[in-house]
Formats: sequence, structure tokens, C-alpha cells
Amino acid sequence: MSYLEELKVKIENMFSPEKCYFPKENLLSFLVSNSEVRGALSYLKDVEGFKHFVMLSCVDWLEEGKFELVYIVWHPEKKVNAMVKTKIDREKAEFQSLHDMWRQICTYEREIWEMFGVNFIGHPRLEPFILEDWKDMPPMRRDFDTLHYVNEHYEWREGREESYKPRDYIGEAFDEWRKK
Amino acid sequence: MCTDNPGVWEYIANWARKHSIWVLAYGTGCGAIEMPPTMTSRYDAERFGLRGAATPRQADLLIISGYLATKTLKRVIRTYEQMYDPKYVLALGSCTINGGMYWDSYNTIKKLDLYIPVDVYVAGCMPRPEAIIEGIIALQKRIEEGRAEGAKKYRENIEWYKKNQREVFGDEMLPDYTWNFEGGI
Repeated sequence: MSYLEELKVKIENMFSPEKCYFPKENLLSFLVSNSEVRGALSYLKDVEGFKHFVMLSCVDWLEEGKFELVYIVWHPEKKVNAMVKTKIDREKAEFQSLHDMWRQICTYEREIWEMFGVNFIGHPRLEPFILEDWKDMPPMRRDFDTLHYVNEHYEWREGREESYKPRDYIGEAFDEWRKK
Repeated sequence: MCTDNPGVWEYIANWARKHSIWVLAYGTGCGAIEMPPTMTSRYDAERFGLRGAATPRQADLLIISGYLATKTLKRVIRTYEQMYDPKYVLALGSCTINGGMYWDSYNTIKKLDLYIPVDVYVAGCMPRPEAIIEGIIALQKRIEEGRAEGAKKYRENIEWYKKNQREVFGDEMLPDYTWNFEGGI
């Protein structure tokens, strides 16, 4: 029994993960409820020794009406990753800020606040990061219509619309290839 | 030197300008990675009189190397306004021409020549160093013929350029002091 399989049993006993599986050989992924995220991460960090925070990412599940926050941590001695996921409501997108656990979470949360509009309660510095003077809805949300925005704000160069469209050009070949 | 009054001195000046183009080392997009091979020994752009300049006030040529986010465009325009006349712009890649693969991106501009005057466009995604050198030769030809007058065009149509820039930047417009000081640009 490898280290990650043992860890999986421990996690299943300690928390109530919904999906606990191995997407890759050295990666354990599990989905927990909102209140268990801090506990799971601090267990991984302080007890198991996942000392390095890799990244925080956000996935927009538009059909479910949820945002999924993904925390990835790395164990420098065992050379394995763990992925803690949680789903928050899309309408009232709020989550607790975890910047006190790893300081680099600050930057990730600031970016997710800007690009997805998730409000992180207790974050010390939620202010514009990459976008300047942005007035529309957060652009990384899936219901943000980029083409509509472009038509409103930018001018097209003439002739572009008559140029060949790769989708039409390779369409049949692509469909055949996909059937295989 | 006044470009309104072409004569033999202007011809000599343009001949000299053509052979000594200082490029501002400012990479904007993915094309910035095509600059080192262009400049160094493999393609050696220095045989055309091209060299790197450290600051905008020392440079003649601004190479826009790839896509421009609105945030980068603001910096590019400020840089362009700080450069001294005569100044030229060489735009690389399809992104500067019509948006390229970022055609439906929410923060990339689609037409560069709405915001600053462009002398030569080099098509490609990205153009290789050979194509960049081809563009530089085309620019040299324009300079020699006295047609590379982007600075004059910008000065004369400043209201049109500023109107286009304001449409993109909105409230966070550039400050006036880079172009509207006493004596103009």
C-alpha cells in the first residue's frame, strides 16, 4: 500500500470527502464541504507535511450554478500532490480567505476575485490586479460573452469576415476524424 | 530637420537615418522572443545598421512584437510619445494587423493603426527573423524615399488618435503631458 493510498484511507476516516480518487499516479484529489477545507489543508500541511502550496484555481460549473475552488499542495519528501476541492454557490460567491496558511494564497485569491468575482472574506488586499478600469462582469465567468464585448468595444479590420474560416474548411475532415 | 521641405539635405539626412536605426528594446507579446536571434550573430541585424537602445528618448524605431493588451497599449503609447522625431513603428504579427488568434479576446486590441501610426506591418504568426529583416528593409526604403513620416501624421491627426485611444481606455486616459507640452510633440 503506497503512501497516497494510506493517506486516502485516513482522509476518508477523518473528513467526509465526496469524491476521493487518483487522477494521476502521484496525485490524490478529494472534494470536501466548505467548512472542512481549512481543516483538511491544515491537516495536510501540519501533520502530513505537505509544506509547499502549488496553486489555487477556480472552475466555473455554470450548469450546476457552482464555483469549484481547487487547492493543490505538494509533499517535498514523498514527492506527491494532494488536491483539495470545494464547491461554493455561484450566485453568492463568497469564501473564507486562507491567506494566513500560505502567504502566496493572497495573490491567487486576488486574481480569482478579479477574474471570477469570488469574494474572499478576510483578504487584506482585494483590489484590481491585472485588469485596469474594468466595468463589466468578471471576464473569466463562462456566461461572459467575449465576442459581444469585442463588438461593443473594438473596431474590426475590414476583410476579416470574408477570410476563410478554419472550422468550415476542415469541418468535414474533422468530423470524420472524430468518428474514428 | 523639417520634412516639409525636401531637398538635397533632406535626402542626405534620410540616407543617414536609414543606416542608423536604434531599436527600443521593449517586447510586448510573443514576438519579443524573435528579437534576440534577429539581433545576435545568427541573423545579425546590425549589418543593416540596427542596434538596441536603452530608453525611448534614444530610440528611432519601436517594434511592436505581437499582441497588445489594452494595458500594454497604454504603455506603448506613452513610450511612443516620448520618442523623438523622426520615429518609426514596425508592427509584427497578425495580432497587430487584425487581432490574429486573439480576435475575440476581451482585452486585446484589433487594429494598431487606430492608436499610433504604423510604418510597416510584417504578417505572420510569428514572423521569423528573416521576415523581420525583410520588414526592416522595407522600412529603410520608406525612410530613404521620405515616406516614413509617422510622427508628422500623429502630430497632425492627434485629435483622431486621442479619440480612438479614449474609446479603449475610458476614464483611465493617458496624461496629457507626454505630448501636450509647449512646442508640441
